[in-house]
Amino acid sequence: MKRILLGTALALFFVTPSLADWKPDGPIRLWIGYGAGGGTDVQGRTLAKEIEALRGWQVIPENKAGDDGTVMSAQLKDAAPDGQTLGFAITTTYDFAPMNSDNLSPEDFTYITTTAGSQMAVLARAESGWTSLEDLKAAAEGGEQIVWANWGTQVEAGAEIVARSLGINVNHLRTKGGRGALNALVSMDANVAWGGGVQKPLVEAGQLNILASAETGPVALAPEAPTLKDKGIDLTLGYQYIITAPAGLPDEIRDEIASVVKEILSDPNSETRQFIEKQYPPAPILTQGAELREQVLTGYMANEKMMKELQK
Amino acid sequence: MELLLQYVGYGMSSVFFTAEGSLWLMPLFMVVIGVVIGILIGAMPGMSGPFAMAIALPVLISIFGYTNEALFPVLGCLIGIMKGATVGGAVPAILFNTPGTPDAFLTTLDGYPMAQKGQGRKAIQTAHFASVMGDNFSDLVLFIAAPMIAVAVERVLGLPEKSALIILSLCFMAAVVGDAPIKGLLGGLLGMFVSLIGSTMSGNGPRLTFGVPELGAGLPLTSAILGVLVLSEVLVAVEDMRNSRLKNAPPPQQPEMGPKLTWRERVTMMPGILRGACIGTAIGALPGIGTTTAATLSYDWAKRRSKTPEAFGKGTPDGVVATEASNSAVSGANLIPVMSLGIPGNFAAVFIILAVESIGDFAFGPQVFRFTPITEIPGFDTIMNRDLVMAFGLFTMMVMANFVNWTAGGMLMGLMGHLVRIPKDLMIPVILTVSLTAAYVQDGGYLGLLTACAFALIGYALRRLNISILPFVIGFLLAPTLEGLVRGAFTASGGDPYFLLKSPIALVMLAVSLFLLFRMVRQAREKGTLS
Repeated sequence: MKRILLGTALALFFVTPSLADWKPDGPIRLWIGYGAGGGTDVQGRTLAKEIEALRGWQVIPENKAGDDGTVMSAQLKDAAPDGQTLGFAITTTYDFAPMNSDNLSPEDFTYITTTAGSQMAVLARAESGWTSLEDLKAAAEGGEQIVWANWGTQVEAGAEIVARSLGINVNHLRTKGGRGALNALVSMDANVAWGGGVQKPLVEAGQLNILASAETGPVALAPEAPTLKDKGIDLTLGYQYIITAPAGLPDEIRDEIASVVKEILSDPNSETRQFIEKQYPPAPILTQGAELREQVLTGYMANEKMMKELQK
Repeated sequence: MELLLQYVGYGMSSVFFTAEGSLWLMPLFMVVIGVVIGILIGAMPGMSGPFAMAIALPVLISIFGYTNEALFPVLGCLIGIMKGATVGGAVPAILFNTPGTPDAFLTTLDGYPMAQKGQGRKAIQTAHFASVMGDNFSDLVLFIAAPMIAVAVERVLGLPEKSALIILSLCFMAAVVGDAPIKGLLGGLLGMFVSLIGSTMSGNGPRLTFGVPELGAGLPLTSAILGVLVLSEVLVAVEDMRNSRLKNAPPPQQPEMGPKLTWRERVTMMPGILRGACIGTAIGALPGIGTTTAATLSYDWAKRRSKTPEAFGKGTPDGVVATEASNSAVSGANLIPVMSLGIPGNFAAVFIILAVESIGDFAFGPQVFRFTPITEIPGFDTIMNRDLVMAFGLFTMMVMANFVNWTAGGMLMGLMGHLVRIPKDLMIPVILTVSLTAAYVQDGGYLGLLTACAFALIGYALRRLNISILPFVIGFLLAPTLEGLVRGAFTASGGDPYFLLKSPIALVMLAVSLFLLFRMVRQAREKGTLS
């Protein structure tokens, strides 16, 4: 009897694959929370290609755009937590957007890894002559109507917070994604806009000015521009690109996927890394596992507080 | 001027070279393939250019993917089909009195009698020459007009004016399309209503999804349009085939081809071609008015101005010239509102817009034609408006397609008479299989498939009720843009309830829309009392 038990135990020990060597059982679906051609999409697709090249796992990207990534996350929530359905969106999708939904909560997801961070800034057309928030304030006080282009509830609230801190009145214009906000600014439908990274070529061409950074530090394109915090406005709107899975994903699978992404993004020859260095400088941001979960949950609480204060 | 030439240069080279600078012939190859497919499809009775474009788009996307590099090969093929089909439609119209595409209908009036008189070759070559010349003319107008209109629009039109412009375009389209404007209007409104599903524009989550999270991103566009346009036609064709099975006529005999068209004859056609091309271009630039209207107007005009009006309808080349030059000129001009405003005016334009929206980050609209100074930062990057380079690349491919139409198109059309025509009962199952597969692959599995089937039923109902499908499709496509603009105009005005009525330009456009609506209702009433 003992021998049988021992034999079974030994057999189990050798037969059960150790989870550290987790391998997907078939293709992985990578659901991208934004439309084709945007920053999220390009990163998701090149990363999928590179994971396939590195590990031989088949990764199939699919766009599910809408509502700050929640169209995707609402479907991801109900998928099986087996590591074969992953979501690629931004932290806003999890630490802000669920506030608007009765069906979503930050607890519905497993947070695997971030890949890059935004370059969030306040933008104005160069021909308006505004180079700082003071110029914006002066123009508004001089009677000019300020229209601020944004792409979601969180950044619209951010614009309102900045306006209130400056003591001016702004009207808001919701556009389709960061690119839409830029187009609205350039085609003069708006005179201020948020930019998360896509503004790079227009700022470099001298068509747009960066008035302030909404990150914790200055943005790479305008190292001399102050942050909102420097100006006494308690607001950061920076976000990160993030890979998630449904809640309940075993830690081993989470860590395995995170380590693959880390391996790729640490390689200077990686196409994804090169894209990130160019569009979201200076380098990839790799917050993973428990630390990342902590960051999202804290962010959610901070955002809740921000919205409550705004509604006062 | 120098900057313009620089951008034209970049645009042209972007079609032939990759970003890394190596030679890339794929777009050229796809243009050639597109034109050949277009001519063949155009020559098949019952098939049309938009039909082929609807099926080709998902197939092309599954081959080339969604990245920016996919844009040129996919658009090249679509443009080729669009242009090839306008040329190819004339062949069966002339030889067998059955137009290949609806636009070639009027070509039968004089082309078929010519073929009966033993001048088939001459008639086909006349159609080819007039068609390609007309097309080239309207492309030239497009290249000049689109950037100018776009720049003017960006300067003059704000959010309320742009909203009013779309309302006006939709009313105009409903008023001119088909023979019952009220039906067109209802079709357009139905299209707009269906597109409300899944929009997240309110910022409070997706609406009207019936709890299906997959609908959160809205109905899948390509499947919806495949269903309403292609699958509904298949349903109608199957029904018609069942009803007319007994009346199957033997295939018509090909008549004697006769002599070639001389260069002297070509030169004498030029004034007629120019007249037809001008009419076609003017009509094409307005949304919703089809090639048939352009061809009819041009034919009537040519007949009235002719010294021998009695020859029309009995086989005069002037008649073929008038219809072919004008119906081909419509296709280029149709892209003027698309490229400068993002408003499609016919089905071909719808597919060009769909392709652009699905692939890469390029989008049509006034922001495309911004002449950003080109500056090069050594070892880093060149700064320019890449959208503008894309636009000039697109123009380059149109010129290439015209060239292929000139050369290979002429040869193909000569051969077409010998081709055995594929019977409809073989064609329809093939179209059905390809369309359903395309819907499944392109738009997320069963969601795409079910959408395509649901829209097939809508399309079938619309066709059987004699409601034109074009306003439905355009309403469906433009409603989200309109909603975005109206919402934007409202919030940007600071919540002013009269935001649409504050600008004189918007007021004029809305007044014209109202007038059109009023006229539609009155016409419908008059018709009602007459019958």
